[in-house]
Amino acid sequence: MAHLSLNHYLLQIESAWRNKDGTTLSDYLSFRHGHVASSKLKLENPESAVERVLEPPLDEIVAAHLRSVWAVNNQDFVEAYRCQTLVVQSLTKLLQSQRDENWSLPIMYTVCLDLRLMALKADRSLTAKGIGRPKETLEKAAECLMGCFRVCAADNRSSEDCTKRWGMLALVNQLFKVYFRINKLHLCKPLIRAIDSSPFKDHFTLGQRVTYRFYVGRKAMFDSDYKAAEQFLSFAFERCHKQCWRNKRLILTYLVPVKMLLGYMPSEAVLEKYDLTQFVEVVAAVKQGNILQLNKAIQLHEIFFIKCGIYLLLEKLKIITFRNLFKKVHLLMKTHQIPIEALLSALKYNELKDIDLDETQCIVSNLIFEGKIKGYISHQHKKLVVSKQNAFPGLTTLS
Amino acid sequence: MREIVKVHSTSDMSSSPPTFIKGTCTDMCPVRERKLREKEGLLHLLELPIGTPLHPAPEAHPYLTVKSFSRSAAGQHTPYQDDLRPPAILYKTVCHLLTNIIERQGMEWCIVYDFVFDRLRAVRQDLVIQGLGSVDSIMVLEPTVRFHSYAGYRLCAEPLSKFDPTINRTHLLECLKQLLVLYDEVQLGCHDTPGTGARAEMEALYLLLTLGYSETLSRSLHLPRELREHHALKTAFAMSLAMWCGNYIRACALLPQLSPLLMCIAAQQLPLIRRRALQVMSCAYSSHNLTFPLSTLQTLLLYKTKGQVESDCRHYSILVKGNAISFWKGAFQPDTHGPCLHVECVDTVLQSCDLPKLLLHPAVDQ
Repeated sequence: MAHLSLNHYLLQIESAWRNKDGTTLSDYLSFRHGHVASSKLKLENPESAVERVLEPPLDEIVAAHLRSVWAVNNQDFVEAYRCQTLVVQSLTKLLQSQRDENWSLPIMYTVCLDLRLMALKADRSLTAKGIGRPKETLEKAAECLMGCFRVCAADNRSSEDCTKRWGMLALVNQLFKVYFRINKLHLCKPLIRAIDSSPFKDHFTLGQRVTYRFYVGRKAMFDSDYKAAEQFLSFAFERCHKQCWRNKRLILTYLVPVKMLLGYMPSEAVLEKYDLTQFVEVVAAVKQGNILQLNKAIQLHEIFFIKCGIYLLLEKLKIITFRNLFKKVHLLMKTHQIPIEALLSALKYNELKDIDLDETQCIVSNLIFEGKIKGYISHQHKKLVVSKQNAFPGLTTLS
Repeated sequence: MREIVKVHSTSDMSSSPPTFIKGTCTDMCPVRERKLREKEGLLHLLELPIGTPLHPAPEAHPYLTVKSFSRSAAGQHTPYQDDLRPPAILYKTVCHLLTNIIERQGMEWCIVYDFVFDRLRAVRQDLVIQGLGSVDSIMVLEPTVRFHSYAGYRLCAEPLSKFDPTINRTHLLECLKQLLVLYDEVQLGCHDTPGTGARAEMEALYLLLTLGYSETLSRSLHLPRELREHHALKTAFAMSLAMWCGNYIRACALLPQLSPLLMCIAAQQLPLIRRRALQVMSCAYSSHNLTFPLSTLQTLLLYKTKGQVESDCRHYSILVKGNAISFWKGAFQPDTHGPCLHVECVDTVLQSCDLPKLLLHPAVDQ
């Protein structure tokens, strides 16, 4: 492909266009295809040459793509991004004009993916030069993707086999990636609603559904809806292709703490298999009710946990660790009336220095409130009175 | 040939910044407005020297009249250059409001608040119309945020007809969010970074305004280390994190460790902390025979008087018998939270505070 001539390239496109071959066309417009390596396709002003072979509106798309290739070759990602938006905008118009056909969706997938990747690169080079707001290009890319999404979502007159609504999920996934990156999760909500109400919800390709559930699961996690998060992330983890080790690891980074909050502890083997050993000590500490060890483990891998966005979840794991610690005290003392003082000693043993009786009662109160301890506190007697049966119900049994 | 690629090649991406009008007004109030308000008798008492007789209609004083806020609306002409104040005058106006006006005696503070609020809003409007840069904006927005934080506390017990906490909070958040965006820009772009102390204070304020929210907590986690290490931010973060885990006792215990201004904001969140506490306690101390001492609750949840505890308990349908609270899990009514109240420790600290200093140049760098 390194010596592909312009004419040959254009003829290939022309023939794919005539055959309505979306897949081949998408290859010839992709930055992950061999033709971008050809020295003969790096053209600053390809318009007239392209126009000689291709008819509108295809010529605009191809010309913009070639100029984008030229710009990338010059390391000018800002210009490359600008050309890529032209590709996507022209394609959006093309899609809109194609009634009752959806063979061009593969092109849309490709150019939209490239748009986002190009925006990332453009932002990086802009930030390095100190121009503009950070992630500004990415935000603009989202608007451009949204244009495509609207065309797809509005195509509800065509029959099921030729509607462009099949393109919605791929775009939603691209948009999720942008929104998570620019930290505007609230924008995900209307997209989720659009997919949820779609009759194709469970019929999109598996890969797209896995990606979708991964992001919806993370969104639920941020909204503190851990049950839902667990369901979505589990689906993503179980159905993700087994060769995609990196993706499975990424899913697991979120699934592990979410599952732990619901009382399911991961095995060390799994953590080692996916190189998530940062969790090993956390798991051990939570299981044993060892607050001291948990604090140390969180501190040790603080940067990793913050970067993944799960630091706050680990803070919540402390609540479970308190529960496990208090359960131990209960078992050791073999009584249903546990002095708060004993719980406080256990906490102090974990090197929680500035803690007092009042705060201990507060921690216990929260556990009772959440149903993790069955019982009540007697303030007069400074005692926690627990139920004679099942005082510490299994975490997995809590609703 | 539609030279689509080339036509746009200089547009859009590196688009030249839009041009803004540059103000030339050298007074706190443009001459045009001053004359008009003088003629129509629209001068505020706070714009006149103390003791000015109101009859005959007083003259407008160029050093005391301050441009008032007027909503931009359709049909209004674009402001003239001499209607807008350049950054230096804007800052001078803020200083005038927050030193001379704010301590004016012999007038209800609600009126002072309304006046300063309105005039600060006009300052912000001038800022926006002229598209002033981040450094100029930060200079003006920081004191504005402090003013609204302080006022929200000072006026919390006023009736709704005199002070609307929701409107105050809305404006506070608006200014604060604008500030945070500006900080992010400055941090990445140029070198003239504003003092870490002031920024830490503002970031801490944001945490306290939304105690226990994961979004704001996450934001703080991603701040540069030297900011995160700052005392003000650390305490505020610990307080919000405590609420994230439901630990209302720790949250209350941390409040007195805050700086005076941050205390004002935290005190305004107490109703939420108390509601959470009373809800959890209703469940944990639920008993028909046992009770919880009212005085203990008063200390723990920072109530000023026993009467306040009683009325808050009643608000949530919790039974109070004399000096004892009888929690019962079925009784708690998760209504809207109770009223915002003055707090002893905050009042004590504020009494010894120099107000203009608190709002304009707080000593937060540590």
